Amino acid sequence: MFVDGAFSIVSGAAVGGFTCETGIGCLAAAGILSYGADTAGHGIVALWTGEQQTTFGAQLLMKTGLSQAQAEILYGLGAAGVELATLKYLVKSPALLTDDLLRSYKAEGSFLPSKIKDLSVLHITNSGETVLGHFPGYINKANLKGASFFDIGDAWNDLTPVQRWAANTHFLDAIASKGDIVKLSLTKGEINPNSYLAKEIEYLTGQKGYKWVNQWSLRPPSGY
Amino acid sequence: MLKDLLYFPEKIEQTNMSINEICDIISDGYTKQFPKLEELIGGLRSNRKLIGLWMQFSENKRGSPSWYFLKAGEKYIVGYLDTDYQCNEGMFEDQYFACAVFIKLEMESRLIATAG
Repeated sequence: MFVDGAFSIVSGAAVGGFTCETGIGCLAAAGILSYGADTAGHGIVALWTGEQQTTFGAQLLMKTGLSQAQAEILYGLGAAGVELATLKYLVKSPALLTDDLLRSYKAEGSFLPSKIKDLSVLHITNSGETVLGHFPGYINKANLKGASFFDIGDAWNDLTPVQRWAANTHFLDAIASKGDIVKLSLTKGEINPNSYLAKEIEYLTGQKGYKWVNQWSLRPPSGY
Repeated sequence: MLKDLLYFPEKIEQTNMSINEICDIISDGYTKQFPKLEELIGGLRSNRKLIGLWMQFSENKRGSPSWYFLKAGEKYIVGYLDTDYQCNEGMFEDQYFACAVFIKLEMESRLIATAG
């Protein structure tokens, strides 16, 4: 635990871009940035007394309604450098913060096996365009245009929600880093606000700086 | 048993299990016979939000080949996007009938196979 804490002083800074959009995010950001010292200190206490104490960061998260176990898991994942998008998803879905999830994370070191990472970028082309939308319209439109699209085949059914979203954001990170223009297979007004598509667009506009151009498309931030 | 099947899309949103893991759990009741279309339609009529849940389940898919269920104007389409990215589909006027067909196509082989 003491070594863990020392390591986390570095990795905590790496996720300092946590936004305050959700309110909870502000607490998480504050907690994550001080995670290293916090957990190192508790590591010493735990070694000395043999008792596990709640970290200060987790105490902050508990004020948002998370249980102690959930808060500790989230706090620990944030400091370990888990993708921002995954963390935000977990903050909004505390029911998903289970012991199994933590065990799986510890076992694999990631929410996403490398095979799934490869699958998630399999249909990226060099067209400069990516199509998003509801299934199956976005795949049809992308194939007509020779554009990039996200399709991980049967693996979709084998992944947990957290893994599905991690695969999805891995794809979005890849097309954003290429500076792709994003086209939709439906208009902005037709997007179901509770859909995966809405989350994908929220991620691109909120985390990647994409802007709406018209009802059908988004462009990357200037510089691409 | 029927309720577990009809609310399958809601379970996907509420748990951290994969779609196949949820199928494993609810497949226990389907070792021999999948519900008839009439039973599915009756269940869907008892709660109109179920249509929206199944449509959202279909919209959110990100893996092919697979079945889909969507609304097009005043009609409802059930189809299959195959491995060559070709759509084979049928159009329905009744949303309950269309949704029941989609549930049968999407879930029957999956649950029976899992149970078997």
